[in-house]
Formats: sequence, structure tokens, C-alpha cells
Amino acid sequence: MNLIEIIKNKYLPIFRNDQLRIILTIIGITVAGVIFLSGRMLVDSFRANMDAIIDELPDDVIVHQNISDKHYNYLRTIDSNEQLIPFEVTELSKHEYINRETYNIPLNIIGTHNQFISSCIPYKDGFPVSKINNLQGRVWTATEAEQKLNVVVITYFTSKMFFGDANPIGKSLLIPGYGEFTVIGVINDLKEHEDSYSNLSLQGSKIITPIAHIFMPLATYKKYDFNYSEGYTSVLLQQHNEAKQVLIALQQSDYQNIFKLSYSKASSIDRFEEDLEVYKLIFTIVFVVILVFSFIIIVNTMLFSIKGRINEIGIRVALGASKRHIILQFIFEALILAFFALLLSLLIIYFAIQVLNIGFFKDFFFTISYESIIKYIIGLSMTILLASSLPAYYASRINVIDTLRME
Amino acid sequence: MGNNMIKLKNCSKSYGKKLILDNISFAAMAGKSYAIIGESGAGKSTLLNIIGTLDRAFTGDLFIGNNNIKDQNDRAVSLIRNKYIGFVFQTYNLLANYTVYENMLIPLTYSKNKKTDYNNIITHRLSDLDILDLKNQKINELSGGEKQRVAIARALVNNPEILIADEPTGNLDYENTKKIMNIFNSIKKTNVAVIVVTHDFRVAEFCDEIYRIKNKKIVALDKENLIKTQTS
Repeated sequence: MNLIEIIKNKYLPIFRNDQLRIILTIIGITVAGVIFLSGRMLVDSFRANMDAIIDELPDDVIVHQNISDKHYNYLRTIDSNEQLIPFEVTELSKHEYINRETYNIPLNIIGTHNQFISSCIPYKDGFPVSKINNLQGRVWTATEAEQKLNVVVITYFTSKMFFGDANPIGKSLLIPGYGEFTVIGVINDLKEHEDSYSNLSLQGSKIITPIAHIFMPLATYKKYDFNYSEGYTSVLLQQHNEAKQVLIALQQSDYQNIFKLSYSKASSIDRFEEDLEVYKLIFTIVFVVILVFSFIIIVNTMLFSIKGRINEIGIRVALGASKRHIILQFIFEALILAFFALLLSLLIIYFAIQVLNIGFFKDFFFTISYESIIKYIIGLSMTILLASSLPAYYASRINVIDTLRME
Repeated sequence: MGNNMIKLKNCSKSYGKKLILDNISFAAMAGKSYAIIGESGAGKSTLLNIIGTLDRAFTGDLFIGNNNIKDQNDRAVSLIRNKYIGFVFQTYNLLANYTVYENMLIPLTYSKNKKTDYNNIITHRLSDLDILDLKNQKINELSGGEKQRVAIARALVNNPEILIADEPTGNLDYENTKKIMNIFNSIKKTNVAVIVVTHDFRVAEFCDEIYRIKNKKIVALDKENLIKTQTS
């Protein structure tokens, strides 16, 4: 009974004063904590998801990714037999189709040269790399690609829509904004672009891109044959001959130092670890900023609190409190505030993980490790301890006689 | 602890270059009450702060019982203050948003006595001063006289052997002043040394001995003569 009275009376008097400031302080530290934990959650989630994917990845697979404009041009020059023909994929927007034909066409027409969005590598027989076979006709030749002739390879669905059961090869297709194209081939329908991983690749973002580089192709391997995102196309070369051919060509090319394009499983893991280090560094910096922020909040709150409670300090000293008691009182008060903020931030992250895992991101689960939580608790506690020590020391040095107005 | 609860020897105190107390000595015994009077700014409260161990920046020696305060560290002095000394202030110095009970808990929580039931002690003290009904009331709901009685109850909660009161009746009317001084008299009879700083002779005459601080010195006054002088 006495113990409760002692703690309540001796160490928790802050809760009788400054309620608004206390609430704002708790919110401030909670926000800082949530930002930190979110960062850790992302890193931990990437790691956990990668671990799951890597477990399924065969040892001898070669992942090929981020084929660039220069890369296509190079590839174009190495295949004199037109065995390996670069091409460009364009997505004719669904919007245009909807307006024009009131059809909701699920996917692309592929094969126009006019608009470069992204690319992959076709063969004469279609797109074995992407497991998309030619149904009719052919894909375009290197000459057609080079001269950007108006030839087009269309999907089966597109063929049915525009030409019905008739043979579309040789027929013309007017693509709004691009002109008239001659159909030279029909391929199987592509799957819906349901690839949520591409969302992780924010163009130009130095923060997200490192993870996207490694995560997308591996995710591709696991789930998709063809993975499209604006600006990047990641293709998995599952057939080793093709992969090796590209790899050898690239290794011999002038671009080998510019584009790191092919990875084995082992090198993929290495690269992932490197990327994760970048993330960790970023979040470490964020964490330090957050700690400084928390530090300032606590110092500010405690100093305001002390200034409003100078008379109380004087009374406590007159009634038997030592400097040590006063220091402990203010440190304890700050730790209690930090405890509530800590609890709140952990709860928020816990519920955020639950909500995110309901299904906002397909095939990607969110998690946070105990190691991250422990680091957070220790980091925050140490900061609060340090931040509250300064005002607490100041409080213990206050001239008690003045505060009691005895003279 | 001997009969001399407080012994102040050759005490001098300055604020910067300004000398406030000049080589004064003072002793207070258990079971007696002392009034310290003087003009405003004479150094009464300074002396009280020294005797109450709140101000240790002085030359000379202060003994509380057998303990020379000069030899003690902050923690030890705080414990001595908590155990031996009770304070009553003119402005009460109660925590306004606390209840009477919570105010009285403060000295108890700093004491070494952790085992005794605090509630019993507080109830007992409040009953002694006939203010048990105020126990759960907030301080800002009380009258001046009630506040001062609560302040006295708080000062006595650790059974101190010295009660130091700085202008305890300064904010009270004469009726309440008499009540408070009667309380001090009954406290004195429980073998407590009561030291009251006041500028009011009517308060001083309630005490057994009267001292005046004048020209940085302390002098004992003849109480009978003083009363006669004041009456005439």
C-alpha cells in the first residue's frame, strides 16, 4: 500500500499538471517511434519475404533484369542470325480502347516501335523468355525494329476483337495517336499486370530502387512469367541457354561495368544484402534524427514542467527531498511518458502490420523482428534518460529558498 | 538526542558583500517555544533557513541534535530535515491541486519509515488538529485558517522534534492567529522545540522566549518587560 503511495506521490506528480503538454509529448514521441518502427518493419519485411523467395530459388538460376535502351541496341548487334531480336513493348492505354470501342481490353498490344516504355527479348518463335508463344505469324525482324517500321504483334484477344475469326496477318490496325500498323503476328494473351511489386519501384527514387532491383526479378521468378512496370522490365531467363547467351554477350560487352544485368542465386543474395545495408543505413540516419527529435521534445517538456513547478520542488526539498530525489523524480516522470509513447507506437505498428497483411500487397507480408523492437526500446530509453537528466539536474539545483519565498 | 535540539554557533551570513547575520549564536531546547522578531529585511527568515538546514552557505556551525550539518552531505541533511524538522510557512506552501491527504504524504514518502501505515499516521495527525473532515479535500477548496492547520499537520506528520514557522499567522485574522498559536503551544508540550519568526508582538508573546534580530545580531528580550512595554 505504502509503495503505491510512494510511487504515486513521489514519482508521478507530473500527471497532475500540464496534461495537454503531456499528451502532446506522448504523441510527439509516439510519432517519432512509429516512423522508426515503420522503417524497421520495411527492412524486416523485405528480408523475411526475400528469405521466403530465395528458399525456392534454384541454385543455378540466372536472373536477368532491368534491360536498358543501350542494352537492347547492343543485343541487336550481337545476333546476326536474328535469333535474338530486341523489341519494345508499349502499352496502348486501356483508356483509349474503352473510349473508342467501349471494350475493356485487359492487356497490351505489343510490338510498336514508336513509343518506348519498356522491353523484353523476343525470338523468332515468340517470346520463350516470357513463356509467350506465337500463335500466328512472326515477331518482327531486326531490320524492322531498327527502321521502326509500322509492324505490330498483337495479342489473341486483340485479334479476336478486331478481326474476329479472320486471319489478322497482313491486315492493318489503326492505333490512335500512332498511325496505321500492319499485323505480322499474334501471341497468346498476356496475364493481367497484377504485379504489385512494381509499385515498389518508384522511378528515380534512390531509396526504393535498390530493393526493387533485386526484389522484382526474384518475385518475378516466384510468381510471374512476365513482369512489367513502367520504366523497367524484369525478365527471368529460365532457359539456361538463353540466359547464358545473354550473360556471355553482356560480359564481353562494353557495358559490363555499366549494367550489372545478370545474377546467380548467390550473387542475388549478395546484392540483396548490399541493398539492405543501404536501407539499414538510411533508417539508422532516420533513427538518429528521431532520437534527436525525441531528445528535444523531452528536454522542452521537462524544462517547461520544471519552470511551472518550482514551488513544488521547493516544498519537496523543505519536506525532506534530497537533490537525488528531485533528479530521480523528473527522470522517472520522463520515463513514464516514454513508456506510454513506446507502448502506443508498438500497438500502432502491430495493428498496422495486421491491416497491411489483410491483403493490400499481394504475396508480400509485413513483419517486424524482435531485434528491431528491442533496439527501439533500448534506443528510446537511453535517449529519454539522457534528455531528462539535464532538466532533472537543473531542477535539483534550483534555489529552494527563493521558491518558498521565505524572505 | 540531547535537550538542545538546535545549536547554532558563531554564524555569519552574507549575500555577496552584504553581511546579513554577524557571528550570532542561538540554541533551542525541546519543549520550549521561541519567537524571533525583527524588522522586515533584518535577517529573520535568513536565520530560519539556516536553522531549517535549507541554507548551508554560512560560516559557523549548526547542530541538529548531535549532527553538525556542516559535516553532512546533501542526502544526509535531507534526511535530518525530514526526520527532525517540520516547516510551517506564511503562504502555507501546500500543493494546491493535491488533497490534504496527498500533501501530508509528501514528507512521509521521503522518510525512512516505509512500514508504518501512512493512512493511520495522517488520520491521527488530522484528528489531533480537528481537521479530519478535510482529509480528502483539495487544498484550493480550503480557507486560510484551514490551510494553515493542514500545513501544521503536514509539518508534524513525521513526529519532528523541531517545528519552524515563518510568519505562520501572517495571512490570518486574530481569531485564527490565536488558534494557531494555541496549537503551537500544545505541540511544544509534546517535547517539540517550536521556533516562530514573526514581526507581530502579539504572536511573539505566546512564546516562552523572544529574540530580536537587529543590526545583524540576535539578542534575547525580557518577555515580561516587552509585554509591559507593548501594553503601555
